[in-house]
Amino acid sequence: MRKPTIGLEIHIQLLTQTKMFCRCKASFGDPPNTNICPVCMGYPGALPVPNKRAVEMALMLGIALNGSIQMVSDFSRKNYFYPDLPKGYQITQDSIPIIKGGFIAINKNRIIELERIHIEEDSAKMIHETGSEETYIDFNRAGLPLLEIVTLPCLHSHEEAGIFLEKLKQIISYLGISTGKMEEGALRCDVNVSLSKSNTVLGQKVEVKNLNSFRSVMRSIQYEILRQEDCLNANQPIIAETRTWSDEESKTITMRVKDSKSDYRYFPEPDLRSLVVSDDMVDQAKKAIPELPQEAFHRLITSFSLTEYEAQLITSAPDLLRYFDQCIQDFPHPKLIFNWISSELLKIMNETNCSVFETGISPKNLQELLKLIQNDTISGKIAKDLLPKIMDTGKNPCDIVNEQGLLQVTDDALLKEIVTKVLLDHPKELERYHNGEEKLFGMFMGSCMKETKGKGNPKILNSILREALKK
Amino acid sequence: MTTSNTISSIHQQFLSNEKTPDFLFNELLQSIQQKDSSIHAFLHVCEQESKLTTKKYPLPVTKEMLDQYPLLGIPVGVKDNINVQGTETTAASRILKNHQSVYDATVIERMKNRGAYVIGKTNMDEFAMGSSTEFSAYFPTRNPIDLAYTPGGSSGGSAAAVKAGFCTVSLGSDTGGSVRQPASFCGVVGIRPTYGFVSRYGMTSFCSTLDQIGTMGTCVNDAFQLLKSVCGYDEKDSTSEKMEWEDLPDVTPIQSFGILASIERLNMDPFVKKMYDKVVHFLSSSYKPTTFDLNMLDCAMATYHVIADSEASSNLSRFDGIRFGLQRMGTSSEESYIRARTEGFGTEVKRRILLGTYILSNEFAGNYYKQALYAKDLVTQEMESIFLQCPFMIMPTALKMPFKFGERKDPLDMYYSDYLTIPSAIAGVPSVSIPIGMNDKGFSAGIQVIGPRFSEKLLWRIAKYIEEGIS
Ligand SMILES: [Zn+2]
Repeated sequence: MRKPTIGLEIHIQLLTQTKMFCRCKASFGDPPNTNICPVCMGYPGALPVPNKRAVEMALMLGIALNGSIQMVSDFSRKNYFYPDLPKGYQITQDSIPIIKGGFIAINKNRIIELERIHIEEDSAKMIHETGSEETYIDFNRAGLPLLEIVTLPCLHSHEEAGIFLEKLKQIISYLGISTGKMEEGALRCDVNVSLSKSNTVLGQKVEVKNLNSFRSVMRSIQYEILRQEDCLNANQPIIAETRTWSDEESKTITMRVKDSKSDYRYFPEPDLRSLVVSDDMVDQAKKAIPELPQEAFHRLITSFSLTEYEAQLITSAPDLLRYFDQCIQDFPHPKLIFNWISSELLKIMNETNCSVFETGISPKNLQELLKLIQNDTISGKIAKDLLPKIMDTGKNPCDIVNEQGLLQVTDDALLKEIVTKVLLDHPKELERYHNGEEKLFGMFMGSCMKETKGKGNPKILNSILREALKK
Repeated sequence: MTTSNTISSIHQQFLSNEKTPDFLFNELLQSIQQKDSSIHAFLHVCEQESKLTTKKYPLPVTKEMLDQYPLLGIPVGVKDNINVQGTETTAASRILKNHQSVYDATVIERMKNRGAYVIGKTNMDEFAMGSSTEFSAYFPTRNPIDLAYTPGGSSGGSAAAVKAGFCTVSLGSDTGGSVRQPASFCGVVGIRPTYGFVSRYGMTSFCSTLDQIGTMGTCVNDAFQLLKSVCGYDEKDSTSEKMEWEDLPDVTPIQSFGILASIERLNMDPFVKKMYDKVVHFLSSSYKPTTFDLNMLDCAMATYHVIADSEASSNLSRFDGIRFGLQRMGTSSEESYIRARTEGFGTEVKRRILLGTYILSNEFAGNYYKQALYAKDLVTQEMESIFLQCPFMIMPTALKMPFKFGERKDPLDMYYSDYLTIPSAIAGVPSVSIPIGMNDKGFSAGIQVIGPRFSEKLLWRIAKYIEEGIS
């Protein structure tokens, strides 16, 4: 078996107000070619001015990923002709990127090292209409700020690549610098795969592009490893090429063979000065970094005694963590909160395709609901039934409980009456129970609950029933 | 030139009600209509716009108005590589034929704010590549002094328009001498300011590292008056310096001035030599002449061409026929580019794009360009060290007197027209060319006063001193 080596090149679209080198609105989903100006359209005479906020975001990511900040870095031009590239060159960073190095820990014992993170501008979007020969260009995307994150060729499996991407996405969403949504093109990933027998010399690498989900990244790596293995076993050389992933056919296909023609003629961008980062900017970026997933993970374990699994789930998305933290404020019942988030809320989120804050159940609502259970005002079952009502009406759990008479029945006399009635209604079952069929207790309990329309306090009901059955 | 053409004399005529701005414009329009069919200074006369603008000035013109608007009612010729909203800006290239500017260059905005108006767009060598205005894609401009001669270039139209009296002052661009050389050929004053003192925003880039917008006038005061109105920091140009006219260092007492030791060895035209000696002699009566070597003089020319052609090849990539300009459809986007660019660019432009592309190619890994930037630093250091010892230098603008059409066929011959204007361009220092004397054909010799960065106030004083003392 040969050893696979994988490197990733990831582009993330930054959530700035404006584009990278002009003051056009950076927004998504606007009508085509509405956010354009002479600069991002490459009109004669227009000049670029760097977006400070994008630089700050690059610093934030660099710090969060333990990279080394270059206080002076360079902008360069990457020259090539393509209809989506208005100036005939892309402004990027070549010789000195804003961040060198850095790493992400994918588990306790394994870190994935980064080569660099640099700033560049996005190209326009080419739109091919199905059934038409025409290609349209939407320049709204031209000049949007991107960060390119390049790993060292140090991953060795598709699983590692998958975890790496999950971790990266988690961090950028915690930083709030990008949505990281691959399906929307806010995160793009190109893959380099090679196989080698020796540990020191890498094999010929092949690039795979056009990957639109973490799943396709992983599947394409799996496929490439097998394909290259087959090639080498058949004594065929690996060709230096760029391949594209086809989801339908579940395979990679040759896109273009690399040759000496791809000459980007990089040179320092003469319309810009070197990018100088001040100590102040670094301080500001540091201050802007919130608690990161790894820190939150440890906090949940140490402060709230959650298990690793539980902490992992809560920290998987920043809003879930924020939700948890708001619920637990003045209501120190971490397990109870976790259970409700992991079962009920995640279910609702999946069903409605909403984020946790969009479900309509605020942390206050959930807290109130859980308090009602705790002080025996309502049963857990009623509480679950209340969730859709809160979502629909937007009312507080307390108000709904009062309005709909859902208060728990805790009146001993009333419950005793119900138990007596249930036992009288089931003489045969009662006999069987007394003959040792104790599992029928559940049936009696259920029937009693039904009689109370679910409002009976289960604890009290349980003890009355047990007492009654002793007779 | 008669003094009735200067800003101050025009303003006197406005104040005394001898002329109104729109009367002046109609006079000029008549003169343009009579004479420009043989001179061809303009590519486009802004007749309608100027008519409207000049009618709008409040009358009578008062002293207060002139204090507030120092260029009130002053017609300006603008080189056709500078964007003026609503007019054609073609950079004298076929590839931009009929291209309407969608915005005003910063210099245009500023001169308009000072009360001036654009009377027309002046002819030039295509994309400012040339020294004779013969490389305009439309027609050559003729020297108003003798129509058999070229006006120099590349800002030949701007120099000819001022000389012919079609406008009071004009804007040109100077990459290696393109303002000063035509100014000297047409017997007017031309200034190349400190690099970064005048915003390049809105000027079609040829070589971003060296391009500067410069001014021309019939007298020293006028050229500086226009410069004063358009200079200063512009946030839209990242290479512009945070310097305003008011912030320029004040002139301190002068003891000496610099002259080039090697000047005698250069192959100078006898009349140029005579005028140069005259200026040196005149200045020597007040200041002590000090000789300097400029060891980098010979390599300045090569440095210039490597930087200029490299950047031009990239700066001109945006002319691809997709978003604006000449459009030619092919069966592929590549074929469309080839057709538009083959048809749209002239021979000299193609020559420079080819050279620049070659210089930047993988073959040299950008080393020629890097080496040229290094040489640029050496030229700059050498000139700076001279200015540590004397506050300004004198040298001829051009070694030769104006040449006739077609007289310079070898491109290298043409390139040598800029031999003495290139060093200051590379060092980014200001230089003003003043016409001295007049030979039997009616031509003057241009003599440059060169100072350190941001010595414009000093250059104004020295240039005026020479102008008054020698004319
Ligand atoms: Zn824009």
